[in-house]
Amino acid sequence: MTNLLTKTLTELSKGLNNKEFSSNEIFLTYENSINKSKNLNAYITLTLDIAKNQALESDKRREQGQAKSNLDGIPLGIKDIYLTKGIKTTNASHFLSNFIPPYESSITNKLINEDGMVVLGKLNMDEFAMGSTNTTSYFKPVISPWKGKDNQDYIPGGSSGGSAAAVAGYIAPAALGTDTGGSIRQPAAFTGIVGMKPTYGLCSRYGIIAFASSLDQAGPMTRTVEDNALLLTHMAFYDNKDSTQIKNQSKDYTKELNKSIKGLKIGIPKEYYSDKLDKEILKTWQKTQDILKSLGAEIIEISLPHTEYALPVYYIISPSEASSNLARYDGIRYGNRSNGETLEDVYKKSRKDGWQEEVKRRIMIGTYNLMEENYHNFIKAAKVRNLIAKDFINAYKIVDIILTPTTPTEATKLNEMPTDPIAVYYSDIFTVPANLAGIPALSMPISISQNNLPLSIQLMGNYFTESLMYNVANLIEKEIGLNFISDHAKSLIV
Amino acid sequence: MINKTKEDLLNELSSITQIEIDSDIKSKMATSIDNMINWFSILDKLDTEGIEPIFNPLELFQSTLINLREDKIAEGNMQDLILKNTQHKEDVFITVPKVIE
Repeated sequence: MTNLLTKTLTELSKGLNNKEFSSNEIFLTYENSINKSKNLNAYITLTLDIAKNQALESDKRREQGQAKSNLDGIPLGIKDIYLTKGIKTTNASHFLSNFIPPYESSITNKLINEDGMVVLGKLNMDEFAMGSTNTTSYFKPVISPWKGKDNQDYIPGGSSGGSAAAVAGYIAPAALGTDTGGSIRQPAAFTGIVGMKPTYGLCSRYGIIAFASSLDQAGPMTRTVEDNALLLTHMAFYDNKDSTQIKNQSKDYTKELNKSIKGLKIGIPKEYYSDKLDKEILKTWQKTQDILKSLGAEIIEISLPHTEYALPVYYIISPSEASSNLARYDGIRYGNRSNGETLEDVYKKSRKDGWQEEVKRRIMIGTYNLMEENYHNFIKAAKVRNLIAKDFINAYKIVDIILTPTTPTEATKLNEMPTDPIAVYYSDIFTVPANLAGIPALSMPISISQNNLPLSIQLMGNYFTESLMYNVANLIEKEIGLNFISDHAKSLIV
Repeated sequence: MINKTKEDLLNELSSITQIEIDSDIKSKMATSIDNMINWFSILDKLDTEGIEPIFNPLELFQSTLINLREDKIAEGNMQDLILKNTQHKEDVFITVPKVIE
Protein backbone atom coordinates (compact mmCIF):
# COMPACT_ATOMS: atom_id res chain seq x y z
CA MET A 1 0.00 0.00 0.00
CA THR A 2 3.00 2.31 0.06
CA ASN A 3 2.13 3.44 -3.45
CA LEU A 4 -0.85 5.29 -1.94
CA LEU A 5 1.58 7.30 0.17
CA THR A 6 3.26 8.77 -2.87
CA LYS A 7 0.01 9.78 -4.53
CA THR A 8 -0.85 13.45 -4.72
CA LEU A 9 -4.17 14.83 -3.54
CA THR A 10 -5.25 15.02 -7.17
CA GLU A 11 -4.27 11.40 -7.82
CA LEU A 12 -6.07 10.25 -4.66
CA SER A 13 -9.17 12.09 -5.81
CA LYS A 14 -9.07 10.47 -9.26
CA GLY A 15 -8.31 7.04 -7.85
CA LEU A 16 -11.24 7.22 -5.45
CA ASN A 17 -13.53 8.39 -8.24
CA ASN A 18 -12.38 5.45 -10.40
CA LYS A 19 -12.69 3.01 -7.47
CA GLU A 20 -9.01 2.00 -7.78
CA PHE A 21 -8.72 2.01 -3.98
CA SER A 22 -10.86 2.91 -0.99
CA SER A 23 -10.74 5.71 1.53
CA ASN A 24 -10.09 3.11 4.20
CA GLU A 25 -6.98 1.93 2.33
CA ILE A 26 -5.70 5.49 2.17
CA PHE A 27 -6.44 5.90 5.86
CA LEU A 28 -4.57 2.69 6.79
CA THR A 29 -1.58 3.83 4.73
CA TYR A 30 -1.40 7.12 6.57
CA GLU A 31 -2.08 5.56 9.96
CA ASN A 32 0.91 3.31 9.36
CA SER A 33 3.17 6.17 8.32
CA ILE A 34 2.01 8.36 11.25
CA ASN A 35 2.89 5.57 13.66
CA LYS A 36 6.41 5.44 12.20
CA SER A 37 6.87 9.20 12.39
CA LYS A 38 6.51 10.19 16.05
CA ASN A 39 10.04 11.63 15.90
CA LEU A 40 8.82 14.56 13.77
CA ASN A 41 6.41 15.65 16.55
CA ALA A 42 4.16 17.05 13.82
CA TYR A 43 0.82 16.23 15.43
CA ILE A 44 -0.35 17.57 18.79
CA THR A 45 -3.56 15.54 18.76
CA LEU A 46 -4.22 12.48 16.61
CA THR A 47 -7.84 11.70 15.71
CA LEU A 48 -7.28 8.31 14.11
CA ASP A 49 -10.44 6.76 15.60
CA ILE A 50 -12.54 9.55 14.14
CA ALA A 51 -10.62 9.32 10.86
CA LYS A 52 -11.22 5.58 10.60
CA ASN A 53 -14.98 6.08 10.92
CA GLN A 54 -14.98 8.98 8.49
CA ALA A 55 -13.07 6.88 5.95
CA LEU A 56 -15.52 3.97 6.27
CA GLU A 57 -18.49 6.33 5.98
CA SER A 58 -16.93 7.88 2.90
CA ASP A 59 -16.47 4.47 1.29
CA LYS A 60 -20.17 3.75 1.90
CA ARG A 61 -21.12 7.04 0.27
CA ARG A 62 -18.94 6.35 -2.73
CA GLU A 63 -20.36 2.83 -3.08
CA GLN A 64 -23.80 4.38 -3.30
CA GLY A 65 -22.57 6.96 -5.79
CA GLN A 66 -23.12 9.73 -3.27
CA ALA A 67 -19.66 11.22 -2.85
CA LYS A 68 -19.97 14.63 -1.19
CA SER A 69 -17.20 16.13 -3.31
CA ASN A 70 -14.10 15.05 -5.22
CA LEU A 71 -12.18 15.32 -1.94
CA ASP A 72 -14.55 12.90 -0.18
CA GLY A 73 -12.53 10.31 1.73
CA ILE A 74 -9.14 12.01 1.44
CA PRO A 75 -7.22 12.59 4.69
CA LEU A 76 -6.23 16.05 5.86
CA GLY A 77 -4.04 17.45 8.65
CA ILE A 78 -5.27 20.59 10.41
CA LYS A 79 -3.14 23.22 12.07
CA ASP A 80 -4.14 23.34 15.73
CA ILE A 81 -5.36 26.94 15.40
CA TYR A 82 -8.58 25.92 13.59
CA LEU A 83 -11.39 25.26 16.06
CA THR A 84 -12.73 21.74 15.70
CA LYS A 85 -15.93 21.04 17.62
CA GLY A 86 -15.40 18.36 20.23
CA ILE A 87 -11.71 17.92 19.31
CA LYS A 88 -9.09 19.53 21.53
CA THR A 89 -7.70 22.73 20.01
CA THR A 90 -4.62 23.99 21.82
CA ASN A 91 -3.04 26.70 19.63
CA ALA A 92 0.16 24.91 20.76
CA SER A 93 -0.20 26.58 24.15
CA HIS A 94 -0.44 25.48 27.75
CA PHE A 95 -3.23 28.08 28.06
CA LEU A 96 -5.54 26.05 25.80
CA SER A 97 -4.04 22.60 26.40
CA ASN A 98 -7.43 21.32 27.63
CA PHE A 99 -9.70 23.43 25.45
CA ILE A 100 -12.52 21.65 23.61
CA PRO A 101 -14.19 24.09 21.20
CA PRO A 102 -18.00 24.28 21.35
CA TYR A 103 -18.11 25.15 17.63
CA GLU A 104 -16.35 24.42 14.34
CA SER A 105 -14.35 26.77 12.11
CA SER A 106 -16.08 27.50 8.80
CA ILE A 107 -13.23 26.04 6.73
CA THR A 108 -12.98 22.75 8.62
CA ASN A 109 -16.78 22.52 8.66
CA LYS A 110 -16.76 22.85 4.88
CA LEU A 111 -13.88 20.45 4.20
CA ILE A 112 -14.88 17.77 6.69
CA ASN A 113 -18.65 17.96 7.07
CA GLU A 114 -19.66 19.22 3.63
CA ASP A 115 -16.86 17.85 1.41
CA GLY A 116 -16.24 14.59 3.31
CA MET A 117 -12.52 14.91 4.02
CA VAL A 118 -11.01 12.71 6.74
CA VAL A 119 -9.36 14.45 9.69
CA LEU A 120 -6.08 12.77 10.74
CA GLY A 121 -5.33 15.14 13.59
CA LYS A 122 -4.34 18.58 14.80
CA LEU A 123 -0.90 19.78 13.79
CA ASN A 124 1.82 21.36 15.88
CA MET A 125 2.77 25.01 15.39
CA ASP A 126 4.43 27.92 17.14
CA GLU A 127 2.51 28.95 20.26
CA PHE A 128 -0.45 31.15 19.22
CA ALA A 129 1.14 31.18 15.70
CA MET A 130 3.84 33.53 16.95
CA GLY A 131 7.14 32.37 15.57
CA SER A 132 8.92 31.27 12.44
CA THR A 133 10.77 28.28 13.85
CA ASN A 134 8.20 25.99 15.49
CA THR A 135 10.38 26.01 18.59
CA THR A 136 7.89 28.06 20.63
CA SER A 137 5.26 25.30 20.81
CA TYR A 138 4.28 24.22 24.32
CA PHE A 139 4.27 20.69 22.88
CA LYS A 140 7.97 20.79 21.93
CA PRO A 141 9.52 21.68 18.56
CA VAL A 142 8.58 20.04 15.29
CA ILE A 143 11.54 18.40 13.57
CA SER A 144 11.94 18.89 9.83
CA PRO A 145 11.64 15.75 7.70
CA TRP A 146 14.77 17.00 5.91
CA LYS A 147 18.02 15.97 7.58
CA GLY A 148 20.60 17.88 5.57
CA LYS A 149 23.89 16.40 4.44
CA ASP A 150 25.07 16.20 8.02
CA ASN A 151 22.02 14.20 9.15
CA GLN A 152 20.99 16.70 11.84
CA ASP A 153 17.71 18.05 13.20
CA TYR A 154 16.56 21.14 11.30
CA ILE A 155 13.66 23.47 12.00
CA PRO A 156 10.67 23.11 9.64
CA GLY A 157 9.99 26.86 9.94
CA GLY A 158 6.80 28.27 11.35
CA SER A 159 4.33 28.98 12.51
CA SER A 160 2.64 26.25 10.40
CA GLY A 161 5.64 23.96 10.94
CA GLY A 162 3.63 20.89 11.89
CA SER A 163 1.55 21.27 8.73
CA ALA A 164 4.69 21.62 6.61
CA ALA A 165 6.46 18.67 8.26
CA ALA A 166 3.36 16.49 7.91
CA VAL A 167 3.00 17.16 4.19
CA ALA A 168 6.73 16.96 3.42
CA GLY A 169 7.12 13.95 5.73
CA TYR A 170 4.28 12.04 4.03
CA ILE A 171 2.17 11.77 7.16
CA ALA A 172 -0.63 13.82 5.58
CA PRO A 173 -1.36 14.25 1.88
CA ALA A 174 -2.25 17.90 2.49
CA ALA A 175 -2.67 20.25 5.42
CA LEU A 176 -4.25 23.52 6.46
CA GLY A 177 -2.09 26.41 7.58
CA THR A 178 -2.54 30.04 8.49
CA ASP A 179 -0.30 32.92 7.49
CA THR A 180 -0.03 36.24 9.35
CA GLY A 181 3.48 37.23 8.26
CA GLY A 182 4.73 34.20 6.34
CA SER A 183 3.53 31.32 8.49
CA ILE A 184 2.44 29.21 5.51
CA ARG A 185 5.10 30.24 2.98
CA GLN A 186 8.23 30.17 5.15
CA PRO A 187 7.71 26.59 6.48
CA ALA A 188 6.61 25.51 2.98
CA ALA A 189 9.91 26.92 1.69
CA PHE A 190 11.97 25.17 4.36
CA THR A 191 10.32 21.79 3.75
CA GLY A 192 10.06 21.84 -0.05
CA ILE A 193 6.28 21.97 -0.43
CA VAL A 194 3.78 24.40 -1.97
CA GLY A 195 2.11 26.89 0.34
CA MET A 196 -0.38 29.61 -0.59
CA LYS A 197 -1.47 32.64 1.39
CA PRO A 198 -4.52 33.78 -0.55
CA THR A 199 -5.78 37.36 -0.91
CA TYR A 200 -6.96 38.79 2.42
CA GLY A 201 -10.67 38.04 2.58
CA LEU A 202 -10.73 35.09 0.16
CA CYS A 203 -11.01 32.45 2.90
CA SER A 204 -13.18 32.73 5.99
CA ARG A 205 -11.36 33.37 9.25
CA TYR A 206 -14.38 32.32 11.35
CA GLY A 207 -13.30 29.84 14.00
CA ILE A 208 -9.59 30.35 13.42
CA ILE A 209 -8.04 31.62 16.65
CA ALA A 210 -7.22 35.28 15.99
CA PHE A 211 -3.63 36.52 16.12
CA ALA A 212 -3.62 39.76 14.06
CA SER A 213 -7.00 40.10 12.42
CA SER A 214 -6.00 42.45 9.58
CA LEU A 215 -3.17 40.11 8.52
CA ASP A 216 -4.34 36.53 9.25
CA GLN A 217 -5.32 34.33 6.30
CA ALA A 218 -5.98 30.61 5.98
CA GLY A 219 -4.36 28.67 3.17
CA PRO A 220 -3.50 25.22 1.78
CA MET A 221 -0.15 23.39 2.11
CA THR A 222 0.44 20.59 -0.39
CA ARG A 223 3.08 18.63 -2.29
CA THR A 224 2.21 20.02 -5.73
CA VAL A 225 0.82 23.19 -7.27
CA GLU A 226 -2.15 21.32 -8.72
CA ASP A 227 -3.00 19.92 -5.27
CA ASN A 228 -2.79 23.40 -3.81
CA ALA A 229 -5.18 24.77 -6.41
CA LEU A 230 -7.56 21.89 -5.77
CA LEU A 231 -7.61 22.39 -1.99
CA LEU A 232 -8.00 26.19 -2.24
CA THR A 233 -10.96 25.65 -4.57
CA HIS A 234 -12.68 23.94 -1.63
CA MET A 235 -11.48 26.44 1.00
CA ALA A 236 -12.62 29.64 -0.70
CA PHE A 237 -16.38 30.11 -0.36
CA TYR A 238 -18.61 32.89 0.86
CA ASP A 239 -19.16 32.86 4.61
CA ASN A 240 -21.37 35.45 6.25
CA LYS A 241 -19.87 34.61 9.65
CA ASP A 242 -16.73 36.57 8.72
CA SER A 243 -17.48 40.20 7.91
CA THR A 244 -14.07 40.61 6.22
CA GLN A 245 -14.73 37.76 3.81
CA ILE A 246 -15.32 38.87 0.22
CA LYS A 247 -18.36 37.62 -1.68
CA ASN A 248 -18.20 35.97 -5.11
CA GLN A 249 -14.43 35.72 -5.48
CA SER A 250 -14.02 31.97 -5.25
CA LYS A 251 -13.65 29.79 -8.33
CA ASP A 252 -12.20 26.53 -9.61
CA TYR A 253 -8.48 27.21 -9.39
CA THR A 254 -7.55 24.00 -11.21
CA LYS A 255 -9.00 25.21 -14.52
CA GLU A 256 -6.18 27.37 -15.86
CA LEU A 257 -3.07 25.53 -14.73
CA ASN A 258 -1.64 24.92 -18.19
CA LYS A 259 -2.37 28.15 -20.04
CA SER A 260 0.52 29.67 -21.97
CA ILE A 261 2.23 32.49 -20.12
CA LYS A 262 3.83 33.92 -23.24
CA GLY A 263 4.16 37.67 -22.89
CA LEU A 264 3.33 37.61 -19.17
CA LYS A 265 5.25 40.29 -17.30
CA ILE A 266 7.22 39.14 -14.27
CA GLY A 267 8.52 41.80 -11.88
CA ILE A 268 11.82 41.42 -10.04
CA PRO A 269 11.94 43.97 -7.20
CA LYS A 270 15.46 45.32 -6.89
CA GLU A 271 15.03 45.94 -3.15
CA TYR A 272 14.88 42.17 -2.57
CA TYR A 273 18.56 41.84 -3.46
CA SER A 274 19.19 42.05 0.27
CA ASP A 275 22.63 41.74 1.80
CA LYS A 276 21.14 38.97 3.94
CA LEU A 277 20.38 36.90 0.83
CA ASP A 278 22.24 33.60 0.68
CA LYS A 279 24.16 32.90 -2.56
CA GLU A 280 22.37 29.65 -3.26
CA ILE A 281 18.98 31.34 -2.83
CA LEU A 282 20.10 34.06 -5.22
CA LYS A 283 20.98 31.37 -7.78
CA THR A 284 17.59 29.73 -7.25
CA TRP A 285 15.89 33.06 -7.87
CA GLN A 286 17.88 33.56 -11.07
CA LYS A 287 17.20 30.00 -12.20
CA THR A 288 13.45 30.65 -11.86
CA GLN A 289 13.77 33.83 -13.91
CA ASP A 290 15.50 31.79 -16.65
CA ILE A 291 12.73 29.19 -16.58
CA LEU A 292 10.08 31.89 -16.91
CA LYS A 293 11.98 33.49 -19.79
CA SER A 294 12.14 30.11 -21.54
CA LEU A 295 8.35 29.89 -21.14
CA GLY A 296 7.99 33.19 -22.97
CA ALA A 297 7.50 35.51 -20.02
CA GLU A 298 9.14 38.90 -19.89
CA ILE A 299 11.36 39.69 -16.89
CA ILE A 300 11.17 43.32 -15.76
CA GLU A 301 13.07 44.97 -12.95
CA ILE A 302 10.74 46.91 -10.68
CA SER A 303 11.01 48.90 -7.47
CA LEU A 304 9.07 48.43 -4.23
CA PRO A 305 10.69 51.41 -2.51
CA HIS A 306 9.29 50.92 1.01
CA THR A 307 10.37 47.29 1.38
CA GLU A 308 12.92 47.98 4.10
CA TYR A 309 10.20 49.30 6.40
CA ALA A 310 7.93 46.27 6.11
CA LEU A 311 9.42 44.26 8.95
CA PRO A 312 9.31 46.99 11.65
CA VAL A 313 5.80 47.98 10.44
CA TYR A 314 4.73 44.36 10.79
CA TYR A 315 6.20 44.14 14.28
CA ILE A 316 4.28 47.23 15.34
CA ILE A 317 0.93 46.29 13.78
CA SER A 318 0.75 42.53 14.44
CA PRO A 319 1.61 42.67 18.17
CA SER A 320 -0.78 45.60 18.62
CA GLU A 321 -3.64 43.60 17.15
CA ALA A 322 -2.49 40.53 19.09
CA SER A 323 -2.41 42.38 22.41
CA SER A 324 -6.04 43.31 21.85
CA ASN A 325 -7.12 39.87 20.56
CA LEU A 326 -5.36 38.08 23.41
CA ALA A 327 -6.88 40.26 26.14
CA ARG A 328 -9.73 37.71 26.24
CA TYR A 329 -7.48 35.03 27.74
CA ASP A 330 -8.06 35.43 31.45
CA GLY A 331 -8.51 31.84 32.59
CA ILE A 332 -12.13 32.39 33.60
CA ARG A 333 -14.56 30.91 31.06
CA TYR A 334 -12.09 28.68 29.24
CA GLY A 335 -8.35 28.08 29.16
CA ASN A 336 -6.30 26.89 32.09
CA ARG A 337 -6.85 28.87 35.29
CA SER A 338 -4.12 29.38 37.86
CA ASN A 339 -4.97 29.84 41.50
CA GLY A 340 -4.96 33.30 43.02
CA GLU A 341 -6.29 35.04 46.12
CA THR A 342 -8.14 37.73 44.19
CA LEU A 343 -9.67 37.89 40.73
CA GLU A 344 -6.78 40.04 39.54
CA ASP A 345 -4.30 37.49 40.88
CA VAL A 346 -6.10 34.81 38.89
CA TYR A 347 -5.75 36.87 35.70
CA LYS A 348 -2.09 37.65 36.27
CA LYS A 349 -1.08 34.15 37.21
CA SER A 350 -3.14 32.49 34.47
CA ARG A 351 -1.56 34.76 31.86
CA LYS A 352 1.88 34.13 33.34
CA ASP A 353 1.53 30.33 33.43
CA GLY A 354 -0.49 30.08 30.19
CA TRP A 355 2.00 31.52 27.74
CA GLN A 356 5.71 31.30 27.08
CA GLU A 357 8.14 34.12 26.47
CA GLU A 358 7.49 35.01 22.80
CA VAL A 359 3.73 35.49 23.21
CA LYS A 360 4.27 37.61 26.32
CA ARG A 361 6.85 39.75 24.54
CA ARG A 362 4.49 40.41 21.65
CA ILE A 363 1.54 41.27 23.90
CA MET A 364 3.77 43.72 25.76
CA ILE A 365 5.20 45.31 22.62
CA GLY A 366 1.69 45.65 21.21
CA THR A 367 0.44 47.18 24.43
CA TYR A 368 3.38 49.58 24.41
CA ASN A 369 2.47 50.78 20.90
CA LEU A 370 -1.17 51.24 21.84
CA MET A 371 -0.42 53.32 24.96
CA GLU A 372 -1.56 56.91 24.58
CA GLU A 373 2.00 58.26 24.71
CA ASN A 374 3.20 55.87 21.97
CA TYR A 375 0.08 55.63 19.82
CA HIS A 376 1.77 57.75 17.15
CA ASN A 377 4.00 54.68 16.50
CA PHE A 378 0.94 52.64 15.60
CA ILE A 379 -0.50 55.35 13.36
CA LYS A 380 2.88 55.87 11.70
CA ALA A 381 3.09 52.13 11.01
CA ALA A 382 -0.43 52.17 9.53
CA LYS A 383 0.61 55.03 7.24
CA VAL A 384 3.73 53.19 6.09
CA ARG A 385 1.54 50.13 5.57
CA ASN A 386 -0.40 52.22 3.07
CA LEU A 387 2.85 53.17 1.30
CA ILE A 388 3.93 49.52 1.14
CA ALA A 389 0.55 48.53 -0.32
CA LYS A 390 0.71 51.38 -2.84
CA ASP A 391 4.15 50.11 -3.94
CA PHE A 392 2.46 46.85 -4.95
CA ILE A 393 -0.56 48.53 -6.52
CA ASN A 394 1.79 50.64 -8.63
CA ALA A 395 3.92 47.63 -9.55
CA TYR A 396 0.87 45.71 -10.81
CA LYS A 397 0.23 48.52 -13.28
CA ILE A 398 3.45 47.33 -14.99
CA VAL A 399 3.75 43.61 -14.20
CA ASP A 400 1.40 40.65 -13.68
CA ILE A 401 3.33 38.68 -11.07
CA ILE A 402 6.24 39.53 -8.76
CA LEU A 403 8.95 36.92 -8.26
CA THR A 404 11.17 36.92 -5.14
CA PRO A 405 12.86 34.41 -2.86
CA THR A 406 10.61 33.18 -0.02
CA THR A 407 13.34 33.31 2.62
CA PRO A 408 16.85 34.80 2.69
CA THR A 409 18.45 31.48 3.75
CA GLU A 410 17.73 27.76 3.90
CA ALA A 411 16.42 26.16 7.11
CA THR A 412 18.49 26.52 10.29
CA LYS A 413 19.69 23.68 12.46
CA LEU A 414 17.52 23.25 15.54
CA ASN A 415 20.45 23.80 17.88
CA GLU A 416 21.79 26.80 15.98
CA MET A 417 18.78 29.08 16.36
CA PRO A 418 19.67 32.73 17.00
CA THR A 419 18.66 33.90 20.49
CA ASP A 420 18.00 37.52 19.51
CA PRO A 421 14.28 37.81 18.60
CA ILE A 422 14.92 40.48 15.94
CA ALA A 423 17.46 38.20 14.21
CA VAL A 424 14.78 35.48 14.07
CA TYR A 425 12.23 37.97 12.67
CA TYR A 426 14.48 38.61 9.67
CA SER A 427 13.64 35.19 8.23
CA ASP A 428 10.24 36.74 7.38
CA ILE A 429 11.71 39.72 5.57
CA PHE A 430 10.34 38.68 2.15
CA THR A 431 6.98 37.34 3.32
CA VAL A 432 5.50 40.09 5.55
CA PRO A 433 4.92 42.67 2.75
CA ALA A 434 2.20 40.49 1.15
CA ASN A 435 0.30 40.32 4.45
CA LEU A 436 0.54 44.07 5.00
CA ALA A 437 -0.84 44.72 1.50
CA GLY A 438 -3.30 41.80 1.60
CA ILE A 439 -2.11 40.39 -1.74
CA PRO A 440 -1.85 36.64 -2.46
CA ALA A 441 1.57 34.99 -2.28
CA LEU A 442 2.75 31.44 -2.91
CA SER A 443 5.95 29.59 -2.07
CA MET A 444 7.24 26.65 -4.10
CA PRO A 445 10.47 24.64 -4.10
CA ILE A 446 12.90 25.12 -6.99
CA SER A 447 16.17 23.43 -6.13
CA ILE A 448 18.12 21.51 -3.51
CA SER A 449 21.02 23.16 -1.67
CA GLN A 450 24.53 21.78 -1.35
CA ASN A 451 23.46 20.83 2.15
CA ASN A 452 20.56 18.80 0.70
CA LEU A 453 17.79 21.16 1.86
CA PRO A 454 15.02 22.63 -0.32
CA LEU A 455 15.35 26.16 -1.71
CA SER A 456 12.20 28.02 -2.69
CA ILE A 457 10.85 31.09 -4.42
CA GLN A 458 7.77 33.23 -3.83
CA LEU A 459 5.23 34.44 -6.37
CA MET A 460 3.21 37.49 -5.34
CA GLY A 461 0.10 38.34 -7.35
CA ASN A 462 -2.36 41.17 -7.55
CA TYR A 463 -5.57 40.89 -5.50
CA PHE A 464 -7.62 37.79 -6.41
CA THR A 465 -5.22 36.55 -9.12
CA GLU A 466 -4.68 33.16 -7.47
CA SER A 467 -5.61 31.41 -10.76
CA LEU A 468 -2.83 33.15 -12.66
CA MET A 469 -0.36 32.42 -9.85
CA TYR A 470 -1.19 28.71 -9.93
CA ASN A 471 -0.86 28.78 -13.73
CA VAL A 472 2.65 30.25 -13.50
CA ALA A 473 3.67 28.02 -10.59
CA ASN A 474 2.41 24.89 -12.33
CA LEU A 475 4.41 25.63 -15.48
CA ILE A 476 7.53 26.29 -13.40
CA GLU A 477 7.00 23.03 -11.50
CA LYS A 478 6.75 21.09 -14.76
CA GLU A 479 9.94 22.67 -16.08
CA ILE A 480 11.93 21.83 -12.95
CA GLY A 481 11.01 18.17 -13.08
CA LEU A 482 12.59 17.60 -9.66
CA ASN A 483 10.82 15.61 -7.00
CA PHE A 484 11.20 17.16 -3.58
CA ILE A 485 10.95 14.07 -1.42
CA SER A 486 12.22 14.62 2.12
CA ASP A 487 14.63 12.22 3.81
CA HIS A 488 11.89 11.13 6.18
CA ALA A 489 9.41 10.50 3.34
CA LYS A 490 12.05 8.43 1.53
CA SER A 491 12.43 6.26 4.62
CA LEU A 492 8.67 5.60 4.60
CA ILE A 493 8.44 4.80 0.91
CA VAL A 494 11.11 2.05 0.79
CA MET B 1 9.29 59.44 26.08
CA ILE B 2 10.26 60.60 29.54
CA ASN B 3 13.34 58.67 30.61
CA LYS B 4 11.83 55.49 31.95
CA THR B 5 14.32 52.71 32.58
CA LYS B 6 13.65 49.55 30.62
CA GLU B 7 12.91 47.77 33.89
CA ASP B 8 10.32 50.39 34.84
CA LEU B 9 8.73 50.07 31.41
CA LEU B 10 8.54 46.28 31.77
CA ASN B 11 6.85 46.64 35.17
CA GLU B 12 4.37 49.10 33.72
CA LEU B 13 3.58 46.81 30.77
CA SER B 14 3.31 43.83 33.08
CA SER B 15 0.71 45.69 35.08
CA ILE B 16 -1.33 46.89 32.06
CA THR B 17 -1.27 43.50 30.32
CA GLN B 18 -1.98 41.62 33.58
CA ILE B 19 0.95 39.31 32.89
CA GLU B 20 3.26 38.52 35.76
CA ILE B 21 6.86 38.14 34.58
CA ASP B 22 9.11 35.62 36.30
CA SER B 23 12.12 37.28 37.89
CA ASP B 24 14.58 35.04 36.02
CA ILE B 25 13.50 36.31 32.59
CA LYS B 26 12.85 39.92 33.62
CA SER B 27 16.14 41.37 32.47
CA LYS B 28 16.11 39.47 29.16
CA MET B 29 12.52 40.52 28.47
CA ALA B 30 13.21 44.17 29.35
CA THR B 31 16.22 44.22 27.00
CA SER B 32 14.42 42.59 24.09
CA ILE B 33 11.48 45.00 24.38
CA ASP B 34 13.89 47.93 24.56
CA ASN B 35 15.71 46.65 21.46
CA MET B 36 12.46 46.37 19.54
CA ILE B 37 11.40 49.89 20.48
CA ASN B 38 14.75 51.18 19.23
CA TRP B 39 14.36 49.13 16.05
CA PHE B 40 10.99 50.77 15.34
CA SER B 41 12.73 54.14 15.09
CA ILE B 42 13.82 53.14 11.53
CA LEU B 43 10.39 54.48 10.59
CA ASP B 44 11.29 57.97 11.87
CA LYS B 45 13.39 58.66 8.79
CA LEU B 46 10.33 58.37 6.58
CA ASP B 47 8.13 61.41 6.02
CA THR B 48 4.48 60.30 6.15
CA GLU B 49 2.91 63.75 6.21
CA GLY B 50 -0.42 63.61 4.35
CA ILE B 51 -0.43 59.80 4.02
CA GLU B 52 -3.63 58.11 5.20
CA PRO B 53 -3.19 55.23 7.65
CA ILE B 54 -4.78 51.92 6.65
CA PHE B 55 -5.93 49.37 9.20
CA ASN B 56 -7.19 46.58 6.97
CA PRO B 57 -6.39 45.53 3.37
CA LEU B 58 -10.10 45.69 2.55
CA GLU B 59 -9.71 49.47 2.51
CA LEU B 60 -7.49 49.03 -0.56
CA PHE B 61 -9.71 46.99 -2.82
CA GLN B 62 -13.17 46.61 -1.35
CA SER B 63 -15.30 49.34 -2.87
CA THR B 64 -18.60 48.23 -1.39
CA LEU B 65 -19.38 48.11 2.31
CA ILE B 66 -18.45 45.03 4.24
CA ASN B 67 -21.09 42.35 4.44
CA LEU B 68 -22.66 42.47 7.84
CA ARG B 69 -25.15 39.71 8.55
CA GLU B 70 -28.46 40.33 10.16
CA ASP B 71 -28.32 40.76 13.90
CA LYS B 72 -30.11 37.49 14.64
CA ILE B 73 -29.07 34.59 16.79
CA ALA B 74 -28.06 31.80 14.40
CA GLU B 75 -26.88 29.27 16.93
CA GLY B 76 -26.85 28.91 20.68
CA ASN B 77 -28.13 26.76 23.52
CA MET B 78 -24.74 25.21 24.08
CA GLN B 79 -24.49 25.83 27.82
CA ASP B 80 -23.22 22.30 28.48
CA LEU B 81 -20.48 22.52 25.86
CA ILE B 82 -19.35 25.89 27.14
CA LEU B 83 -19.35 24.85 30.80
CA LYS B 84 -17.18 21.86 29.91
CA ASN B 85 -14.29 24.26 29.41
CA THR B 86 -14.05 25.32 33.03
CA GLN B 87 -13.29 23.37 36.19
CA HIS B 88 -14.69 26.17 38.29
CA LYS B 89 -18.47 26.00 38.28
CA GLU B 90 -21.52 25.72 40.47
CA ASP B 91 -24.77 24.71 38.84
CA VAL B 92 -24.77 26.70 35.56
CA PHE B 93 -22.45 29.42 36.87
CA ILE B 94 -18.72 29.91 36.42
CA THR B 95 -17.15 30.79 39.77
CA VAL B 96 -14.36 33.28 40.54
CA PRO B 97 -12.69 34.44 43.78
CA LYS B 98 -14.90 36.71 45.83
CA VAL B 99 -14.88 40.25 44.42
CA ILE B 100 -17.18 41.99 46.93
CA GLU B 101 -16.49 41.93 50.64
